Amino acid sequence: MNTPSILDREVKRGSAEMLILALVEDRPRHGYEIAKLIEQRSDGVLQFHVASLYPLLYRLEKRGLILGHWVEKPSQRRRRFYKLTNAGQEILKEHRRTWKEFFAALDRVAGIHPA
Amino acid sequence: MYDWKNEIREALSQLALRPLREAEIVEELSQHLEDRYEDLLLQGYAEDEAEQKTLSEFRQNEMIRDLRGLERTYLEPVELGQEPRSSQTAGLWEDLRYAFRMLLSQFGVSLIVIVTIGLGIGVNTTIFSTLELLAFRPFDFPNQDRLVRVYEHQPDTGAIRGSVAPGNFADWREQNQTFEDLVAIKSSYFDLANASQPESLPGNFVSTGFFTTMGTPAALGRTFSAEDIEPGRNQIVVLSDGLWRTRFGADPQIIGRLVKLNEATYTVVGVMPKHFRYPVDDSQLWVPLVPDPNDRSRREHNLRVVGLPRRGVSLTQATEDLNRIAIRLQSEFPDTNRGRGVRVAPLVEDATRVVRVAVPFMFISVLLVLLVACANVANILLVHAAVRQRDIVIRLALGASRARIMRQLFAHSLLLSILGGCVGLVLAYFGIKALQSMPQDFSMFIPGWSKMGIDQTAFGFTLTVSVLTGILCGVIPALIGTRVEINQLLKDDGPSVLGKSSSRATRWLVIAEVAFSVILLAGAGTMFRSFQTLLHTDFGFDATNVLTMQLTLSGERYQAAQSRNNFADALTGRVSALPGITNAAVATTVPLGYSYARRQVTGIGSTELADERRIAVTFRAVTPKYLPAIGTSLRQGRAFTEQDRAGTPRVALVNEAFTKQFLAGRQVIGENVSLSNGQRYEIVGVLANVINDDMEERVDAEVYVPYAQEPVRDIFLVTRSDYISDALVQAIRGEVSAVDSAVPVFKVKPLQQFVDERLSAKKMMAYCLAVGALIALLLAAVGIYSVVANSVTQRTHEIGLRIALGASGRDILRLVVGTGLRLVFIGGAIGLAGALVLTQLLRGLLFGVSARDPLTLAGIISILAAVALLACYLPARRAMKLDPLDALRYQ
Repeated sequence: MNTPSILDREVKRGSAEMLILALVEDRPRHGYEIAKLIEQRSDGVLQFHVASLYPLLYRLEKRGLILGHWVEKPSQRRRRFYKLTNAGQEILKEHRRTWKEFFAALDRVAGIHPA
Repeated sequence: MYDWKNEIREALSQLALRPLREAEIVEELSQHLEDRYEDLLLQGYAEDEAEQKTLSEFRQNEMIRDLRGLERTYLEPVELGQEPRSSQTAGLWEDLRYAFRMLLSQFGVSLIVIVTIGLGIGVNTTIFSTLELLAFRPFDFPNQDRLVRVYEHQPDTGAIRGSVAPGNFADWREQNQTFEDLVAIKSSYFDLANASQPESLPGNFVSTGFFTTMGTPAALGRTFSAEDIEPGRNQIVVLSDGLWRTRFGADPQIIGRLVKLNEATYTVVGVMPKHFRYPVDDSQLWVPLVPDPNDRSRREHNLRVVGLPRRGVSLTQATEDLNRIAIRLQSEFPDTNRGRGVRVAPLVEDATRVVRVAVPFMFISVLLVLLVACANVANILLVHAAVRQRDIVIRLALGASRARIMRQLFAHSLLLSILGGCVGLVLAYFGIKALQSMPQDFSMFIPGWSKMGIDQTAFGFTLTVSVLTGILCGVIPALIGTRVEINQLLKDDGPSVLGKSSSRATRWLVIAEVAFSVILLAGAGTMFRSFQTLLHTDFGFDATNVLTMQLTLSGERYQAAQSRNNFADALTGRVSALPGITNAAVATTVPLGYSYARRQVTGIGSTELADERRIAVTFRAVTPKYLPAIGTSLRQGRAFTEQDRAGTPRVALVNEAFTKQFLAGRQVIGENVSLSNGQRYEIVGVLANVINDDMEERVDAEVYVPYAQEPVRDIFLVTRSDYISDALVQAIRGEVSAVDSAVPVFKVKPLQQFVDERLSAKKMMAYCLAVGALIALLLAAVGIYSVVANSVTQRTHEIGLRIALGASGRDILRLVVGTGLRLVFIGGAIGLAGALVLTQLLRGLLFGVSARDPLTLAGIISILAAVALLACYLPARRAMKLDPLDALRYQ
């Protein structure tokens, strides 16, 4: 957990949107699940706390990229699930392309190959 | 466990979110914090450590900052389940905005509706404001409701509106106990001397109490007082506003100025306000009527009498009071007063009696036009309510009340009708202008004509009618448009569910339109036929290219009869010599010329007639060429010649009505007739009857005498020429000037214009009715068309099926046209029945045509049938051209 804080901040800000969109791409997820997956899949490098996650989710929802809806399951509390909209799909594609080009450029210049 | 929700709620409180939204966020975030807390416990954190960590992750200022830009703040809570009072007024404003939006979104339709309503209201405002003014408040006198006209009444002869003899007037005035004052008016022409040309103006001699009785003071200077009848003080004049402006340039220093009237000098003492025009609309000046204390003449009836009864005195009491005096006069002066009573009538009612005859029919007519317009608009709105029904249903489903939606539909139709009212007001402005362009000589006998216009009453009327129209047009669409089965409609994607009830209503509306139109057409048609008949009536003269002008031989110079004779001879001689003139004559009156002279027949042959047989006949002095000039034919005997002079035996011509009345079955030529002027005449010829006054009244007996034997001062010059032009008028004026430049020429007018003026009231009514009827017919045609076209659209599938199964074009035509004609037939039948009843109101206005004129009714039926066929044929043609395959696919 001794990652430089600069990476933590910049990467989180620049990529947070794409991360969330990517996580709800294959199926709807609720906020806590999203935060947990980001932390798990980045091996704890990336972390989203409640204070920054939800404003971002609401912003994405407002922009029409994701759609939240309450789901009730028997003997469970209802939860709010977010799923990717068509517009979100388009934006996600765009993000992926930009990041790919960015890493390719970094690689060509500095020999950094994304894992 | 820690109360996450409270923590979150506290943090969010500074954002003032909508309660629902806040609850959602609290729920979502609290779940997150709870999950996180439990995760931390699983990871081995102690309870309070886990709690602290979770809270620290949550307590970040950035969240509130980020959310502030994202979430909308809330203003005040909505109480569910009922509408608070304040939102009802807001609702009205919303309804109006909704109405505007609907209006703009269907701009074309809105425009049609507004114009339709505008036409209906325009016709109504024009006729209402005109007739209301003319029939009920033509004057501006403050006490006009108390004022009365007083007539001499002769039940034996049927004369109920007789002018009053000065002697009788004097006695009534002195002896009555019920009047504050009785005033007399004697109209006359006054020659006003002018630098360029002498001018003759219509004016009045009036009793000094006249202006006080009328309750109208002068606008400038003063009116007359009781002392003004004293010799030396009575040479004063009050001017009309019009005369003051046109002849004296609205000079504020006019008071005290001297003017020459009839060669005497008068001092101007006052100017009346603009709308004071009594007794006729073109009255230009008033001078004191000075009663001669010795003149108790009861033979000449030449005064118009107006009275102001004391407060609390009824019409009956006033009449009884004056009749008491009249009965005493009957026994005192049997020669002149036998059978003469008094009749008292309210001034306004009496002055407007002619106009009032027209009021009921005209009001009903314009109301019918408005109803047709309303029916049409209701129809259009109904069709569009069907278009909007899905919108309505969704709002009903979302919980809007039916009343609320009806209110919105009403707001829409009210907005349309008020805008239509504005259009109507503009149309009425031009309508009234068009009416005012009628000939002035016609209108001067209708009090109030000059002040017609859009006033407060007209404005209020238009507003009221607009609101009523809005309600009338909106009620059916609002009732039917909101009566829908929500489930059925939401399930159904097919054609209108409203279909049945709305198309039934549409059909009835069209039937009503047709019925109203038929009534209007019947009224207009009958009036037109009556007018036509009148136009082709034989008036007993030929007005083509006949020019008339009036002259007055006033002053000392024409004191002697011979001088007047010389003037007439010289004038007719010179004018006859003008190129283009075929005949020139002088006459004391002309037919339909608004001036009359009557004399009683006192004896036929050697027998003197008994008093009750002494009937007044029309009396006219003419020069020899009068008959060819005016185009009246001689039936028997001879016309006047140049040899019938002052010194020769007195001769007369009589008309056929005279021979029928006095000399039936006897030799006429050579018989003698004695008149009330004490003269005896030998009848030398018989003339055709001439219509002198009202065209609808019987033809009066008439006596003509040679002008040379009775030369009066007020004369008409009558010329017949090949054409009438300004140059000719100038040439004739030149000849008058050449004979005597001091003789004023006035009222230069073709004889045909007198005829037109007499016809203009009827013409005006006929045209008003025709315009109304045409508008109604047009609207009804549009109504029929839209119903038939709509039914073709709804039955497209069925028609396609019929064509596919082998129906021919004619079958389809019959099917479609039949739909429309059925409505026209029902509407037409109802309309005809109504017309038969309503045209009875016209009876008093018709001439030579029955109120149930079969020709007119047949004409209306053909016009209606033609219009209806056309309105049905257009959509039928579309139906015939349908491709069966397309039609079958149509849903």
